[in-house]
Amino acid sequence: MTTARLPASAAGALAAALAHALGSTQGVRSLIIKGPVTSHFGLRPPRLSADIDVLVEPSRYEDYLAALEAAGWTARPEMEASTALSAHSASFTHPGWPTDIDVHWEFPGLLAQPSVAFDALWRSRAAIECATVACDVTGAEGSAIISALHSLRHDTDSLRLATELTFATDEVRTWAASAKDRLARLAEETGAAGPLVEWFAHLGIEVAVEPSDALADWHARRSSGDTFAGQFVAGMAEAGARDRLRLAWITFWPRAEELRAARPEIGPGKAAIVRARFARWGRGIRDMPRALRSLRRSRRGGDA
Amino acid sequence: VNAAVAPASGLAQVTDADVAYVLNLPRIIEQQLPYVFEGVSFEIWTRIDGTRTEDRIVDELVEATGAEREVVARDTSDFLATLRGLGLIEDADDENSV
Repeated sequence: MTTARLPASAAGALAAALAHALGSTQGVRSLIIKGPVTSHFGLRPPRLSADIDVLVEPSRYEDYLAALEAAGWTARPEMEASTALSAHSASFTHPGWPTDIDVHWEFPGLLAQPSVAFDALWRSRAAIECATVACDVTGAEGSAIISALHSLRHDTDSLRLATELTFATDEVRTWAASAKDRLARLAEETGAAGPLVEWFAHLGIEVAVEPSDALADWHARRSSGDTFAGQFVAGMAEAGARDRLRLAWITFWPRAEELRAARPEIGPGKAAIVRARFARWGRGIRDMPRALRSLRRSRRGGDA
Repeated sequence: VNAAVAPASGLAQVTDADVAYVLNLPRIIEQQLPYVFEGVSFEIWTRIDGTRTEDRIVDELVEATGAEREVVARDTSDFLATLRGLGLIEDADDENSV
């Protein structure tokens, strides 16, 4: 008997069981989402996931993190600017595990208040067996919503995301009318109806959508692509004058130790840090025109 | 040595062909990594099912391996003591014993 050599195929199910148990022993409601849950409901082809995602009731998020840290897991270093601009989760790693646990306090595209969205998903939850442990997971409808939001979050050319969206769409088409109705109501409750309005139209499912700043922001972030510049432009548009200055500062001049923690490949010495900052600015300048165009479009009334 | 032995409650487990990965969730603070059972340890672990006693497990291992009963009994006893110390196994209800 050893504690070494944990293959990814076993690690995923065990990490899901662990993520569930950490919540239940603390009395913290948590739901395993994405990956194996999506596959379980036939919304994604079965495949190994590199990490386990868990959505935690927002008011108990810190309690959950404390339990995770007590079990030896530590947060993966993040740039302060990334956290300020687009954070909705934190990734945790453990030196003995080949998988990450991503802990979400909200999910992008669920535009209702995080506690409202979580409660709605919790009411419609299901249980699936992970490593012989019954784990709370998003139900079929909640899983479809999260899968579609994940695929549509970035207006990119990702073949994998497009394939997953097609797969989920084909599966939802086979659902009974009552299930489709539950899907629509859950989307409205969680605030996902707006971001997914075109997807629902494609499925022939009617949802009620109210225009909101959050919806405009969703479209701005989505159409700016999966780039930091896009998140920056959208974040600056949202922020007040004082926050803008802070955002600009931490974005363009991240601390050296922050850069090294997030990008361990950066070499030693001040010159390496300067090169890393220049490379970061270069990427931002390259992506900025698209980000600005998308923000203008979303302010003119959305590009959905 | 008449009581059947069973996996402790609350364990997470994945069995893949001839390897078992077991995570002690109730003691996750102290035991943060899954245990890997393979080879002889896998043969013993998979017989810990809440119905077999230690004697029965030894009998089966002797039959399966052809090894000396005295050696198998000693090694199995040591192994079960280790598992018991880690909180991975417990005595099952007597009525299940075989």
